[in-house]
Amino acid sequence: MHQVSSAIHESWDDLYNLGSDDLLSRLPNEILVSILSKLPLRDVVVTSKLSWSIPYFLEGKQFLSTPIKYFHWVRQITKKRCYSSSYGRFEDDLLSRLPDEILVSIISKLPLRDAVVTSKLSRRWRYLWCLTDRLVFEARERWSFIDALSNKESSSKYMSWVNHIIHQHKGPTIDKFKICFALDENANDAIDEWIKFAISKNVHMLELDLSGHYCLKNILTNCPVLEHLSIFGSLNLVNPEIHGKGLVLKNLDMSFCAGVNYCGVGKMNAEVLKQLTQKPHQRLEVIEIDGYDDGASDLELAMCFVLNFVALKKLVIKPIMKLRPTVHEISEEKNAARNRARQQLGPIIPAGVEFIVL
Amino acid sequence: MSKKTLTLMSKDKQLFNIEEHLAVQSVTIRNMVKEDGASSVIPLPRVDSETLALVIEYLNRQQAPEEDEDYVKKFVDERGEIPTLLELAQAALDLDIKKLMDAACMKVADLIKDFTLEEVREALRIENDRTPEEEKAIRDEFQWAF
Repeated sequence: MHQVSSAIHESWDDLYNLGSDDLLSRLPNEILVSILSKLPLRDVVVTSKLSWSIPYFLEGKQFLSTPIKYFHWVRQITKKRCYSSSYGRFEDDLLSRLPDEILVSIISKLPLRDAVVTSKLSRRWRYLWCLTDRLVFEARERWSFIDALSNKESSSKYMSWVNHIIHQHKGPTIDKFKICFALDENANDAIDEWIKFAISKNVHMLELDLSGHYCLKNILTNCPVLEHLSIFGSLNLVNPEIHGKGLVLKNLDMSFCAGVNYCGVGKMNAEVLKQLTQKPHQRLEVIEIDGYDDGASDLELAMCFVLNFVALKKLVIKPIMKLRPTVHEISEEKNAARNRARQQLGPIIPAGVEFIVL
Repeated sequence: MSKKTLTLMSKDKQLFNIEEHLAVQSVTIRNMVKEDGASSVIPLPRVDSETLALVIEYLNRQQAPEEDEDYVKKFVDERGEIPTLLELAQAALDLDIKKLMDAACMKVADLIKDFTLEEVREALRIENDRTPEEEKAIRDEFQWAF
């Protein structure tokens, strides 16, 4: 096995040395995939022993059984090529010449876990990641709400991860801050702190994907540079105040933020949005009303948007159904709800605003 | 009115001409033009001629605004070699062309994000200069990693 592996390694080395240096880099991936898919499976497996391939390629036979899966491996090769084929150009002092600013910018664009790991590269990189401007706390896998609630250990681990990172973060500003985990109500205080932290770092995009019990209250005041706010699954979203001098919110997205009862979906969102409508708003361009119920208050809300949001370009309405229909009635009732929304709002939408009923 | 041309000089003393209205996408050049009209040659002591040629190509693009994002992405995609991208990022930083700098860094990040630590060191020519004690300290620190 070992011999085969080194033989293949050598033949790839030969390829690197073929006539023109960039031959391999000029080949499109499709050709490499096609070559690989013609190799005996065993050879492909063995190549995973090469230093630059990925260990998990060997996990599970089914992963290897289709040619398309070679693609992942090929991508590794092509990535290897991205520096192999140009060794000549890599001036030895290039990296030491580069200012930290560029390295930080690269780190900021890595997934957070990888960004943190760069601290292991060398002394210079030790604390560079602390200046990253993106803190996106993606869980390793998507936990369902029930799973997460029944697994206290994972949620406390997630929380301590977030706390550690926040504690070490040294950058003056944050471009994007995202929390993404199902947390129970015990986490509310922590989440408050996280949001406060993000706001204090002048966050531009704030995303809360909580699928839990978080109750967002009066935290979102005075965030003069927040441009994008997305809240997903905050079950007790009650009257949050999003205001402050010079609010520059351009994009607001709230989904599955139910109140106490089913019908409250639209109303709870309305509470949030109404605060935004108190003054003519210069910048908000896209509004989506999820759970529009064609009642008087929702109509009034829509009117508010149309009159006050001078920059409005797109209004998206997702109507809710009046009744809880049976399976047979669903499509009929959906259409009826859509038609009601169209009839009601169609006449008041100014020209130039895209109007979509989902 | 004829279009005004500026001359940029790379660190290896090669000269590149570019129309002023295109060159001012660089905030650095814009400020220079504002201050003194930048009639003479603008030296770029940290940018080699190969990289400057790329930057000029980028500045000369004629894209509709809505296609610009795609163009910038494609532009860096076609230069998928890490040293080139790093030089490009450096030039974009010096010239203050944020979009180009972000795109180049994004591409590098994309390339290295699946690498192992050793591969990143190899790709970026980073020497591991940490002592065993430092290695241990950092390992301990990573206990909390989620």
